[in-house]
Amino acid sequence: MTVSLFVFSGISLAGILTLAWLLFTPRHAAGSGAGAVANSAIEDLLPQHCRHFPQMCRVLRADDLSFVRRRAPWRLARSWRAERHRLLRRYLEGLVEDFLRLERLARVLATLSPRVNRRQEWGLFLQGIKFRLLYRLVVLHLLFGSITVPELERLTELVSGLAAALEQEMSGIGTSLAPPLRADFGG
Amino acid sequence: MFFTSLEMLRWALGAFLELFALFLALRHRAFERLPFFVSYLALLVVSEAIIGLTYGLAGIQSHSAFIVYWGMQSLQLIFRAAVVFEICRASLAPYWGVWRFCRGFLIAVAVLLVASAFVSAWRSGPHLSPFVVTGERGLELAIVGILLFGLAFCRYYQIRVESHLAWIALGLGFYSAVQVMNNAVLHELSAGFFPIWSNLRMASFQIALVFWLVALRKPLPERPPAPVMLGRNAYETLAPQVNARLRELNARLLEMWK
Repeated sequence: MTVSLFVFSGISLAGILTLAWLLFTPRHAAGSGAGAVANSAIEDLLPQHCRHFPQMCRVLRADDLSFVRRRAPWRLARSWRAERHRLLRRYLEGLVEDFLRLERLARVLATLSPRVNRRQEWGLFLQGIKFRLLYRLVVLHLLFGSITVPELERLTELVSGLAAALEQEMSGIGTSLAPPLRADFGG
Repeated sequence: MFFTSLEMLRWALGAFLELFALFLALRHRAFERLPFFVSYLALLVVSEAIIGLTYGLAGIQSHSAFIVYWGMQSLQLIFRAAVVFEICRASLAPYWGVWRFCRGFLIAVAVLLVASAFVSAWRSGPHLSPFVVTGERGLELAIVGILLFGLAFCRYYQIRVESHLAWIALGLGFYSAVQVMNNAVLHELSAGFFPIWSNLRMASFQIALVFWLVALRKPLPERPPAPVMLGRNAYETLAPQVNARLRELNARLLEMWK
């Protein structure tokens, strides 16, 4: 009997705190889904960090590492390796940001669509949870080891490939939208 | 048994807050956009009058007083559920696709939680008091649950909840959440806890009234313009691509972790 008392008290407290959080903490987009699209350019919702992958490839070249180990003092090699690690981690965070932009774009599309597919929406929701969990595990992996260029390349290709496909589709959609939603895709 | 001076004062404060909230709602013509909420405020005022009259005529400890009080509470609970639906609809309905998707889910959650409330009440035993207390606990939990899910959908789809709706939702959720805990404690501790239960019930409701007064202090803002919807093809073309890519991305991350 005491267990149910604690359970209900916990539910009650969690309910109040969650309610306050849902209602009054700021969210990413100011305004509604429509506002988010109308007020910010479409380009802000597309990935940006994945474009820097060629520079990351140069940073991660294995022959650079072996050269530094052979020629530079031990302390310098260690500091160089730590800096490389840091850059890799920053790029990974950038890829995460790109993922979140795509996810946000998908949600805006659903918000402004007259009909959504339940399976698609549940799929998107579950993929988002899975991504957040896996990303944290990969960061742990990075702490104890490293990520190879092919692995990073695969991740980047996925994000940039989707971005290119979306950009292409949305440039077609953009010409048929009402003026508030039309975006300038530039040239 | 009679009310003490302090209890009378607190009752009068509650009645005043209810009247003031109803006055503000009518003055700012809130019934045009929130008919269920304004009807609920009117019901509160009428309930106070009926309950007060019953206590005066039949006595506080009478069977009639028990029936009338809990009858009014049941009616108020139904109206509060309607207000929760009104808040969800006001926030989500302009986004047709999302509303159709969420509505079914919210109804399913509501049916599940209400059924669970009735089962809990049935299992509480043959006596009326535990049945009522347990049943109310379950139904208040249903109100909190539906409100939280509705607001979670708003947050997930980045749909802004208007300020006055947010304050009304906070009042409803706060009161219902406190009643869940309050009734759970009363169910465990029974008669000894009753004075504290009564005070907590009244205090939490008056706090909720204050939140609603904040919501109604100014005229309701202009209804925001309806969002311009995309064509149906946009979503059907793009959403599957996004999902497929995200699944691949997660598969690659899983390989990297392993």
